Amino acid sequence: MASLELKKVEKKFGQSHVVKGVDLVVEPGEFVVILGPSGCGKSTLLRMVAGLEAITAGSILINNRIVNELEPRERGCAMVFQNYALYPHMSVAENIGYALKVAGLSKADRDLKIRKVAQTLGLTEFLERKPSQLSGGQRQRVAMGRAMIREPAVFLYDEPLSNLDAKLRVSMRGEIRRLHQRLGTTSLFVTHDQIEAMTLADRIVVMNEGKIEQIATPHEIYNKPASLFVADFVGSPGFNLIEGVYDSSQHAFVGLGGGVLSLDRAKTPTTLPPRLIIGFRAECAVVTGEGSDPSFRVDYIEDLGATKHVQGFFDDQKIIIAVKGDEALPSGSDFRLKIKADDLHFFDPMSGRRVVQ
Amino acid sequence: MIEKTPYLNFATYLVLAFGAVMVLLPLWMVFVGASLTVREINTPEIHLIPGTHFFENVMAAWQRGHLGGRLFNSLVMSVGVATGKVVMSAITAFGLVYFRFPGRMLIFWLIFITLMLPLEVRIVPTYAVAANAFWPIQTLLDVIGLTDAVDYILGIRIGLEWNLLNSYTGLILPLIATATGTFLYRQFFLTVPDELLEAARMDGAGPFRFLAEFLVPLSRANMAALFTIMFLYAWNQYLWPLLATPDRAHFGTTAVVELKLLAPTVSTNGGGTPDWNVAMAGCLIVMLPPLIVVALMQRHFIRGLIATEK
Amino acid sequence: MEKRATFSKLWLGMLFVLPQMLLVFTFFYWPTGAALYWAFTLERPWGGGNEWVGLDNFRQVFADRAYWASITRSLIFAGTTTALSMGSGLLLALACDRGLKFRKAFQTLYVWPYAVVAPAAALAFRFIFAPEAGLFSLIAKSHPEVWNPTQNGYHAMAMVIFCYSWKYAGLCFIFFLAALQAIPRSVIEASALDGASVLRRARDIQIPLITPTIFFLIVISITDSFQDSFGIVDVMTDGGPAKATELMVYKIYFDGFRGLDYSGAAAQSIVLMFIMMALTFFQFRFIEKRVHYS
Repeated sequence: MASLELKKVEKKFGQSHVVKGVDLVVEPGEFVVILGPSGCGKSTLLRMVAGLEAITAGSILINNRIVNELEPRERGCAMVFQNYALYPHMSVAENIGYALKVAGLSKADRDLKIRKVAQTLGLTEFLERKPSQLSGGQRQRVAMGRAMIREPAVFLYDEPLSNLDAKLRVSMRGEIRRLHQRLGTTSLFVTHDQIEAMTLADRIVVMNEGKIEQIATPHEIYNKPASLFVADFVGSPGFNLIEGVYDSSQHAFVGLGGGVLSLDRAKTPTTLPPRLIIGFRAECAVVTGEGSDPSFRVDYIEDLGATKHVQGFFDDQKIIIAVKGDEALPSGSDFRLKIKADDLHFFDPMSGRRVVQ
Repeated sequence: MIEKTPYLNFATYLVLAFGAVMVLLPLWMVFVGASLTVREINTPEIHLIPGTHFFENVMAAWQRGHLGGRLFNSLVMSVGVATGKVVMSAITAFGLVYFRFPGRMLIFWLIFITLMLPLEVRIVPTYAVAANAFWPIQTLLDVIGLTDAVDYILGIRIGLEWNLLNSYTGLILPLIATATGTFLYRQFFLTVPDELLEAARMDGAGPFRFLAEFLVPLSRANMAALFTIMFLYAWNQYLWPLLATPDRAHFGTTAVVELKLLAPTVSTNGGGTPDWNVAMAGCLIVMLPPLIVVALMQRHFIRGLIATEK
Repeated sequence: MEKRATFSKLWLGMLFVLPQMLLVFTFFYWPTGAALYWAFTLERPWGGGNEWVGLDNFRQVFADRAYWASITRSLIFAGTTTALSMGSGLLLALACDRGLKFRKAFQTLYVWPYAVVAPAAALAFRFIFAPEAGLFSLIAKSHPEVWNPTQNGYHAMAMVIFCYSWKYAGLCFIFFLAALQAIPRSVIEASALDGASVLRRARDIQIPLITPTIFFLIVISITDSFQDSFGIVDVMTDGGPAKATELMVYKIYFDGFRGLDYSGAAAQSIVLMFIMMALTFFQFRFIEKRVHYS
């Protein structure tokens, strides 16, 4: 098991600054997921770790050894590519064993290892086939096998599940997780899919525009988003963000549309900036018929069976809330919205960061 | 699609049949001609029924045209050009696509320009180069003064000479010096996904390995297509072998060039009526190898034709 | 287009390119340069010094009526062979593309002419058109004024044009059929639902959609007709009778190697190079840009 450390890693492609100073320590055996929208620099970061891209500034350490100048094969990383990058002219067995062949292992040794890996991944009966004769999930497995056979120090995944259909993605997710539990190899996994990140990661790194927004466990990312970006990016159906000001005299939040939301003194940060964005998850709001809570006008409803996503307006701002499937909320009707103090998040609109307690 | 167009179908078949006759009739007449005696063929009538002297004529053509040696020359030249072209184009394109060395674009354009001017338009100086392939280098040495310098210092006069006339090298090399295949390979290499090289590199493959174990097997279809096209191109060459093989007595020439000698013209022996039956037999022999190649490799041939011309 | 992933040993890349560069330099750039140099000097055959004469060689060449005649002939040859081979190639391709029975057999057959070696085709047609033995020998015997390519320059030219077109119709057929088959089936079906008949579809849908191929073939056929005609002319007519079939490349060969007039041949080469380059440029500049539907 190896540790992986990134120190002030930067990447520039000509004028564009793709990775802007990333610091990250991955503990031995840890499974870290880098999550972010497309173009945020996450794949570039991974490719720099692999040795496929040169590092503009900073350093990358594997097992406390600087690998900046090492060729990919010398770094001890294995990578699963987004489109698998299987070698189309080689059989499954040849694909899996290629790295060993390059390394000069004898055919007998290779075959032994290939069999073992194939067994682990359930590929034994496909060993003689060509990649074009495999299904998406099988290809994905071959790509994993190709990486596994080298017993790498670090496992790198570049959105490996994005080419699979939804059902297969769920089951492959499970397989990756199980595999990691068994092998315990330090892993870095890049994805734009938050569910993948939440389900797979020991820790998630949320990236945006070349910078790290937050590094934390999935639980913390979800419950304590460190910035507006993280709050907005992680979680479904969505994070409601409402802009307004803090009225210190009544200790209340006043939305730009004039709606007032009184705050619980015990559970709000002691110092709040004058301009403020409050946020809450769609599923954290409760709809009631009466009371003095701010009003919510229903616009339209998306019925998902178990839940309903209600699109509507709160303080003239568009929000979404999630309610149980059996709740009846006719379009155009007005309701009251109740949000527990614990579920309210406060952000500084200037910096975009969370206002800490 | 359900479409009932009986008249149009009939017309279409008429067109198709007419086309078939236009293709087959000449070939048939060549065959018929090759099976008649001199007396039979030199009568003014339309010869459409084969005679009985086919093998005699073939033997005669084979001997008179020294076709054994000539076909061998043609074969060596065609295989040489096709192989040389395939290998040369592959490594050149590999260098151009997979390495970013300075001056790469200049080289790209220098090679690209060769597409514009066929051998035929620069035939006279090319002949002079073939007579001494070191002529360019010698001239360069002369111009930069190295010849004089060496003469002055060492007392040796550099006089490089390498005559390529009447040699396979001379037949082959000038025909390889074009860009056709290079571009075919370049186009193909550009379609090979980047991830493939990245994955191979993660697995530890270097440039030679990547070329030999990835690009070559992946481009097998392209290679077959290019080989077929270049084989036919070389077999078809007429002007260049005509000039590059002046020594007919020893080296001989290619089968295609020999054809003309089977049917004398004003320039070869003052004209007169050729022995058409023998000429047609020779014609048949010479046209056969490419037809066989095309029949066997039709798919590659068409693919290659469309890919190299475009 | 550029590769994202490349190798870093740059000297190795240069090494891969080197053989080709050497070849191209020796057998392309040097001869081309030599042709240019000779065109402006008076070269004695087989060495023996030369003197700078400026544009004299060109003046001489252009003052030569025979040269202008060879240009005219080459243009007529280019025009007629292009029209004939493309016309028949297109017609046969459209017929094949209708997808009737036996289509595959016809298709295979039509490819053959292009696979026939040009000088062999030339020899075959020389026999077929021979006044003493061929297809027209009966007419030639009784009415030599109607058909006699060995004596009559127009007849000889017609024979050369026919032979060349016969061979190149195969090439045009291959390209046209590939282009026609690249048209999405749904487009044809949509127009059929719109009520267009087979002929109407050919005119309104198929031919407009293959315009790029048509233009491409026009340029290719014209340039090829300048270069590939040599073998056919040499085998069929030797440029005769009385130089009636002397095309530009044939004249370069004749003046250079038979007449040993290197400077004149070089000047003619340069003119031909300009024509070729202008055509290629024309293709890249206008045709590739203007005709683009997909």
